[in-house]
Amino acid sequence: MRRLYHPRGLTDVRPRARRGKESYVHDSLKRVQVDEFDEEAFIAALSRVRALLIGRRALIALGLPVLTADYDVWLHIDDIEALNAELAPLDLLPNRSPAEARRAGRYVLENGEHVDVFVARAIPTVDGVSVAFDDLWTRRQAVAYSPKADIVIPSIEDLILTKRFGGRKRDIADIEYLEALKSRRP
Amino acid sequence: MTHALRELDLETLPVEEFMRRCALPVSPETIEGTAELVAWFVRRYPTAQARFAYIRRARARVLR
Repeated sequence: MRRLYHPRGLTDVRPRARRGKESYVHDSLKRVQVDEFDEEAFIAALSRVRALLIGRRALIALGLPVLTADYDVWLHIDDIEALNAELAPLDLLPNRSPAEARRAGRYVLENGEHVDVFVARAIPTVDGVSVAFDDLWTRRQAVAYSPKADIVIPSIEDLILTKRFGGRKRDIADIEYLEALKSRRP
Repeated sequence: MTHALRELDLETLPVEEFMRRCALPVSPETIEGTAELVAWFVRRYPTAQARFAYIRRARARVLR
């Protein structure tokens, strides 16, 4: 079972499935209530750094009803510390130090939710095309998350490129959806 | 979604096969069907926040 370090000394080791709508952990003798994941605050935090929401969440943001459980984020390599600081109040904790994340090109943020964070400057597609974060960032688009926050995602053309990173069967279906969506847009 | 189905969904294809399938043209039926699906989803759930919440509920139903 995985243990997550909590900056205030609280640790919840239970799998999410065994927690109720609200979970409780002990802080010395006090019982402390931990709120459900605040997705709106998470999205707002992303908007304060150079971060692109990619993967199926981006498809859903565009209006495609596909299933997913996680969040995939492509973050500028110089913004790791800034994002971690933004997300610490939400108890989203990194599994690697920023230096380790830079070496590996990725890390994970967790608190029951799972956020895959890619931090490489460029990622190759399965057929060897190098996709650079800076290029995608230049062509980014914003989608309304709520009246108070926007989600920043790549252009549809660039999302199609990111779907060629993994070469999975389900990526082909996603690419087909995105191509169909693209063909109906001016 | 069963474990076996999830594994199938995440299965990686050989590069040549993946690129061959990516290069197939999208049929007019798929374009039309996708447009209708998106129009319904965005009309029913106007913000990404509402769409994410719907997907959470749908996923919970599938996994039940």
